[in-house]
Amino acid sequence: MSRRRSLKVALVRVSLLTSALVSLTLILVVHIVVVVYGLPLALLNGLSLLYATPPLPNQDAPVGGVGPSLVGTLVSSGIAVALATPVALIAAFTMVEYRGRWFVDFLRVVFTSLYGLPTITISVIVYSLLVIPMRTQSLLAGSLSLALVALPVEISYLEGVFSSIPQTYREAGYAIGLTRWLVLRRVLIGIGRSGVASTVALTLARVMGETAPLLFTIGNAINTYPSSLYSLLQPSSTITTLIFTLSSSPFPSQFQFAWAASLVLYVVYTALFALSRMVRGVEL
Amino acid sequence: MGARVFSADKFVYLVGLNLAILVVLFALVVYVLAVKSAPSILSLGAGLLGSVWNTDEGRYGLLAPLLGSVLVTVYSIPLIIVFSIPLVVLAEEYLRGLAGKLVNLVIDMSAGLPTVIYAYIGLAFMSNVLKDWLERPLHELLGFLPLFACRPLTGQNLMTATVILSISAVPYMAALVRESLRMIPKSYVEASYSIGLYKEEVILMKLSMVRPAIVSALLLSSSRVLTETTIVSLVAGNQYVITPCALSPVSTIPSLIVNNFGYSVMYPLLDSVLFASSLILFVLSLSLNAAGLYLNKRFRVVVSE
Repeated sequence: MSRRRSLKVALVRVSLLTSALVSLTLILVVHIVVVVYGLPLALLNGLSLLYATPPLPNQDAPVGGVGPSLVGTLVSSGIAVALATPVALIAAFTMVEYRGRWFVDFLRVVFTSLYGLPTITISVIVYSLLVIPMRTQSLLAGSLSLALVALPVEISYLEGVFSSIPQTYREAGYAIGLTRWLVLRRVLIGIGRSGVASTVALTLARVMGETAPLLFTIGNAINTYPSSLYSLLQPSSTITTLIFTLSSSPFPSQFQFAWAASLVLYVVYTALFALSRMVRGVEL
Repeated sequence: MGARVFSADKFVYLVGLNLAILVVLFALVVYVLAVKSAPSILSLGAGLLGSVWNTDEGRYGLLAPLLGSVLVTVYSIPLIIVFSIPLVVLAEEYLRGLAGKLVNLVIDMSAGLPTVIYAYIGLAFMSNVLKDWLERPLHELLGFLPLFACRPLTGQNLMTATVILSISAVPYMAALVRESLRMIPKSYVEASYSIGLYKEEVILMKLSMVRPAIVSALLLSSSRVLTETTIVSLVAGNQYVITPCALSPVSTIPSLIVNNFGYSVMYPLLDSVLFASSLILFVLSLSLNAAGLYLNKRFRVVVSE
């Protein structure tokens, strides 16, 4: 062993480990700070954090809840994923099943372009397509923006799930006379069930964390609950837009309260992430 | 059952419908961007790339936010490389068993963490820490360099934005790089150990094998940084200035849109200018993404052969 070689090896090791530890620390700090700053406010508010409305500017203490925004988050992400999933399932199946055909290449170009669409651009586009004609920002416009975010993400995950199922399985399906529809349902979704479920949970987690596509579309109704089906056509808010609004607030109680809202968002995200991991781990 | 199984395959229609939905969506996107941005491009032309942004005088120069977007992206590239690749190596090569799995879990979880959380932590916590512990010392020690010449008045500036954007992009990059490292055939690694290479030499060799995948991951991460909206809106400071100094407040294209879209109807052309800027953003992000996805696909073909 030459000395220069072992010196180089030692140098590489030290620099790799130092920078890895710094990086890990920085990432962990994010998680720790959310919990450490959020927890006191969550304890202060108790369960009302989940159903009360956010603090008003004239309030001294950051007391309140994220109720309306939490409902907005669940409804808008739910609608978005419900709309995107069927389209994504068929698009991903098409890309795997008809690989090499001209329309698949075309589909891929469209898919790549939608994937590259900045979320803030989605926001302004949905604004001019829906908000201006409807004359109001609405839960529906927000949900459709989110669906546009969910679609390419879900297609790319599902394409991975479907192409990991061996081709011979599909061929076996056709050999016993199954139609394409049944092959998709019984073979791809049947065998890839856990992958599909995990994809839906991951997409939900991704979509409910989005802020930019909602900024000009969903409105800023942080104090009113969606009450009926008609509320779909009225302004609403999500936890993400609530945090964004609160963090630009000049009033300390509101600015502080964003920690509590962040903690709620963090917990919802973690739950969905854990769900996606759990269903992926279990082969149903 | 028999009739259903042997009935004609009507699935083709579903595929066709699906293709139509995607194409119509895409056409709508292109149509809106083209129609809305046309007035400003036609009437202002090259003036769109001017350096002055003043809505009252009707001067809509996009140079400052465009430069802000480019600088934030370019500056974050070295940070992302330096912090993501060693992290992957730590999780995959040095830590065995549970510890490695835990680090990988943290990476995966942070990769999808809502960016508004990073943004708010950046604003309420990290910008002050960075100002006191990094930016002030840099200004005092290296103030003679144009890069650090201006005094960091608040923690909201180009450098803070770059650091927080990088922290948010590192887990995503790390997850992508990890997938490519796992695709290297085991026999290669065993062969390199069998000729007596040190672990670190094997790591360097593996990293050089996946270099195209690293470039691809970097392109995808940069596209995320470029189009990130909430973080820059909250921590970059939102000033329309052109300066070589990294401690100055800046704005980017997404933060320009966020800050002006609300009252864009009050000024002639402003709304169209904002659509033009989001068109520019789309083109930039699309090129980064397409290049990234293309490289990634080619890398997969090479490895699987």
